[in-house]
Amino acid sequence: MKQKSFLINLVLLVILAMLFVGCGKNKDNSEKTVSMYMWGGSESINNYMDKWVAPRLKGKGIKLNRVPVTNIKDTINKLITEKQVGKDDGSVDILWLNGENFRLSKESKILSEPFVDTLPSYNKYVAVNSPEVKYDFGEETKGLEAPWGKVQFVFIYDSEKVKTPPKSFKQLKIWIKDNPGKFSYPVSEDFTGNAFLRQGLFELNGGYEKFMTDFNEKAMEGESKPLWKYLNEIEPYLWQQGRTYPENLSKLDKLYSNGEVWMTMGYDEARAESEIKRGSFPKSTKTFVLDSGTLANTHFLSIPFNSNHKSDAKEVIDFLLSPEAQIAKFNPDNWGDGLSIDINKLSVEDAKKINAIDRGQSTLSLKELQSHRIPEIKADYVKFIEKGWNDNVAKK
Amino acid sequence: MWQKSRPYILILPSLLIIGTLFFGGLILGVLQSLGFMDVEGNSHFTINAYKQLILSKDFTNSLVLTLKVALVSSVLSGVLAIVLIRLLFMLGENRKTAIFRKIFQMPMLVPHITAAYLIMLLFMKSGWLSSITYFVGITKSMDAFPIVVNDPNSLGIILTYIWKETPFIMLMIFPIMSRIQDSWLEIAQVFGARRQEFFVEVIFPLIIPTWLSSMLIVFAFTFSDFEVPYLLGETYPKFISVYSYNMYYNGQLSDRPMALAANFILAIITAMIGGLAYKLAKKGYTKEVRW
Amino acid sequence: MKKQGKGTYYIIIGILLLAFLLPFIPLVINSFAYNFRWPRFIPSNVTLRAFKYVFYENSNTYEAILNTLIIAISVVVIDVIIAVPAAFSLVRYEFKGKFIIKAVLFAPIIIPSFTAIMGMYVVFIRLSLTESIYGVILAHILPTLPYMLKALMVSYGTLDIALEQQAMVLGSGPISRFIYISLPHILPGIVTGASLTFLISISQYFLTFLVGGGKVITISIVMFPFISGGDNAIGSVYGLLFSSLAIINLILIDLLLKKYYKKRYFKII
Repeated sequence: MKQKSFLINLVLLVILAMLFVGCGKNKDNSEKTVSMYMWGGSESINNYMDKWVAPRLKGKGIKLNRVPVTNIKDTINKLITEKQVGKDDGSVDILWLNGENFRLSKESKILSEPFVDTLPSYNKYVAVNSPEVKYDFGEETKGLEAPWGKVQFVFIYDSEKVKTPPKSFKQLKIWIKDNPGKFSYPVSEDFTGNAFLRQGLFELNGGYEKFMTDFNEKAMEGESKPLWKYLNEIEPYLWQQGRTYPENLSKLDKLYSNGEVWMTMGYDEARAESEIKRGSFPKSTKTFVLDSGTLANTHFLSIPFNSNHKSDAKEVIDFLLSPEAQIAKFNPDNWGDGLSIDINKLSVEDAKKINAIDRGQSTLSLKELQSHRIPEIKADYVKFIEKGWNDNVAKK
Repeated sequence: MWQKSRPYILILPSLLIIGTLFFGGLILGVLQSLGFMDVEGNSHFTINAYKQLILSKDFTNSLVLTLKVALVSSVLSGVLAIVLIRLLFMLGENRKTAIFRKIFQMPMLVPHITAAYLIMLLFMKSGWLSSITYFVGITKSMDAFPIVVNDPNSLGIILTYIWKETPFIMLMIFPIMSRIQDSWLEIAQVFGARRQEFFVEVIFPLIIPTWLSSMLIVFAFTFSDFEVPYLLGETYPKFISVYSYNMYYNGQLSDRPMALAANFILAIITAMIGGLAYKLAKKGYTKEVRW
Repeated sequence: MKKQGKGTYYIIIGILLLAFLLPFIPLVINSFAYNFRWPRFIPSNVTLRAFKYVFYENSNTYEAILNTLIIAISVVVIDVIIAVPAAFSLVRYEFKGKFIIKAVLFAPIIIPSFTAIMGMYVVFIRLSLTESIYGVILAHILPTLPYMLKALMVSYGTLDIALEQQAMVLGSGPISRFIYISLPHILPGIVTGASLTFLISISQYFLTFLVGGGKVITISIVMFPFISGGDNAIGSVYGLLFSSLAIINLILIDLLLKKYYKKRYFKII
C-alpha cells in the first residue's frame, strides 16, 4: 500500500500548489502591481528594467511586473479582441510601442484617455511642442502616449572584415557584390527589416521629403519599383543567396555574432557597445550611418483601456520620464537608449552627468548622429512596404 | 437503468473535456472561417475564406512543401528505425544492447524546439560541425560548408524530425518484438533458424502493420508541427502551421477566417491520415492474434 | 563468421550511436562558453556566466520551473482522475457509439491541438482563461489525455475480470474492489501514462504561448527567444535544464516501476 500513500501525498501536494498559485494571483491584483508589456529580446533592456528600475519602484511601493513579448503586435491584437468581447479587467497596464502599432491601437480605440499632461515629469522635462513628441510616424500622439526614449538607426559592422564601410545604398550594392554571402536583412514584417527597406526607398527616390505627405497608393506603386529592382539585383549576393531571410533582428544578430555575415543593423545607436561588453559581438565591432542620414524616432509608453491599475501605471511612467531614470537609461552600462527629455530643461548637474557618459568606442558621437537624422514617415508606408516586399522580392 | 448508463457515466468527464474543448474549438474555428462571429461580431455565411485560400499560391505552395517534408521525414525515420531494430536484434539481448537501446531513446528527452536548436548549433555555416571540418581541412572556409539549416530543401527540418521520431517508432515496435521473441525465438532456434532468418521471416512481417501505422502517426505529426519549421524553415514558402500562425497574428484581423480555414483543412488531412493508421493497426492486431 | 559478422554490426551501431549523441555535444559545450564562435570548436573561455544568469540573475527562471511543474503535475492528476473510469469503461463494456467515442477521445493524438485552441481563443478570453495558468492546464489536457487513456487501457486489459468477480462474491463493494484489486493492478499503467503526460506537458511551447500569451512563463517560453536569436550559452543552459527535468522524470518512473514489479514478483511466488 506504499504506492497508495504516495499517490495520496502527490494529490495533496498538487492541491496545495494550486491553492498557492491561486492565492498568489489574488495577491498580485490587490498589491500595487503594474504589468508592463515590452519587447523582451534584449538582455541590456531587460537588465535595466529588472535591476535598475524595478528595485527603485519597489521603494515607492510598486511592484513592476515586466512581461517580455516577442512582438508587441500580439499584445495589441489581444487587446483588440478583448475590446470586442467587452473584457473590462485587462492584464496589461503599460504598453511599449510606437509607429504602426500605435496607429493600430489608436484606431482600434484600445488606449485609455489621454494622460501625459497629468505627469509632472512630462510637463517639466519634455519638449512638448517638438514634432518628435507630437507625432509618432506622422500620426498625432494627442497625449495618448508618453515619450520614453529616442533611437537612431545605425548599421553595425566588423571593422576587421570591413575596412571601409559603405555610406549609401549605392555603395552598399557594390560592397555586397564584392563580398557575396556576407550581408542580409530581416524580413519586412520585422521592425528593423522594414526600416532598412524604407531607407532604401528614400535614397532610390532622391530623398525622404517626397514621402512626408499622406500615403498615396498609386504613387507608391511607381515609387517602389526602383526599390524592388535594387533588392532583386543584390539578392543572389546575399546570405543563402537570398533564398531566405532572417525572420527577425535577433536572428540577424546571431548570424553577425557567429561571423556568418559581416554586418547587422538596428535602431539603438548604442546597442553594439552593450553587445560587445557581453561578448556576443566581436570587439572590432563599429557602427556607421548613411551620408544621407538614417531614421530616428521616438518610442512611447501607453496605457490600455482596460488596465486596472491606471494611476499606478501613470506613476511608473512618470518615474521612467524622470531625469534620474533617463540618465541611467542613457548610460550604456545599463541600456544606452537616447533621452526622450530635453537636455536644455535639465539642471546644470544633470546636463553635466549626461555629457560625461562615455557611450563606448563603437557608438558614434552625438554630433554625428544628430547631423544625420531623418524623420519617420506615416505608418501606411510601412504596411505597403511589408506586403510589397513579400510580393516582389521574397517570393522571387 | 443505472447499469445500462454506467459505461456512459464513467466516460463522461473525459468525453466532456475533449468534446467541448477539442471538438468545440474545431467547430468554432470552422464557424469563424465560414464567416460567423467575425471581427465586428457580425455573422454571415460565406466561403470566401476557402475560396481565397485555394486560389492563393501561398497556401498551395505551403501545402505541397509541408506534405513533401512530412513524407520524407516519416519514411526516413521508419527506415532508420527498422535498421536500428534489426541491428539491435542481431546483437542479442544483453546489457550492452540494453544501454544502446537507452541511448537511441535519448532524443525523446528534449522537446522539439530544443532539438531544432541543437541541429542549428550543429549545422549552421558558422556552427560546430563547420568548425570541425575547417580544422580537419575538409572545408577551407565557412562558405564551403553546405547549407543545411534555413535551406530550400528543408534538410535541417528533416534531420531534426528523423532524430526525434526514429526513437518514437522504435518505442512503438519494441513491445511487439519482445512478445514475439519471448514466444517464438527459442522454438525457431531449436528448428535451426538463425537470427537473421528469424528476423526476416518472422519478426518483420509481424511488425509491418505497427511500423506503418506509427510512420503514419509521425507523418501526421510532422505535417502539423509548428516549432521546428518556425525555427529552421525558409521565409517562403512557409509550412502550413507557420503560414496559419503568421496569418492569424501578423495579418489583418480580416485575415483570421483564412487562418482558421487553413487550420480546418489541416485538421481534415490529419484526421484522414489517422483513420488510415487506425485501419492498419487493427489489421496488425488481428494478424498477431492469429499467431 | 559469427564473430566477424557481429563486429561489423558493432561498427555500424557505433557510428549510429555517435550520430544520435552528436547534437548533445554542442549543447553542453555552448553552455560553458564565452565569445565562442567559428572556427573554434572548443571554447577558449570556459565560464559559468550563462549558468549564473539563468539560475542567479534571471528572476524568470524559478517562476518558469515552478509553473512548468505545477502545470505538468496538475495535468497528470486531472488526467488520471478522468481517464481511469473512462479506460475501465472502454475495456470492460460494449455500448452503442463506442467507436465514435473512441475516435473522439483519441483524436488529439493525430489532429494538432492548436487548431482547436485557435478556434477556442475568443471563448477563452471571455472566460478569463487566457494568460492564466488554469487555461494553460486545461489546454495541456488535450494532447496528453489520449496517451493516459491508452496506457490505462493496456493495464486494464491485463486485469482478469475473474479477480473482481471473486471479490464481488465475497461481498466487497465497488469502491473497495477498486482500491484493493484494480488500483494496484493498473498502477504501472498510471505510472506510464503519468510519465508520458509529464513529458508532453513540459515540452509544450505553442499551446502554452497561445493560451498563456507569454504571461504564463514556463521553461519552453523562457527558452524560446534565446533559441531564435540571442545568447547561445543561455539558450544551451535552458536546454540542459529542460533535459534534466526529463531525465529525472524518467529515472523516477523507472525506479517506481522496478519497485512495483519486484513486489509483484514476490507476491506471486
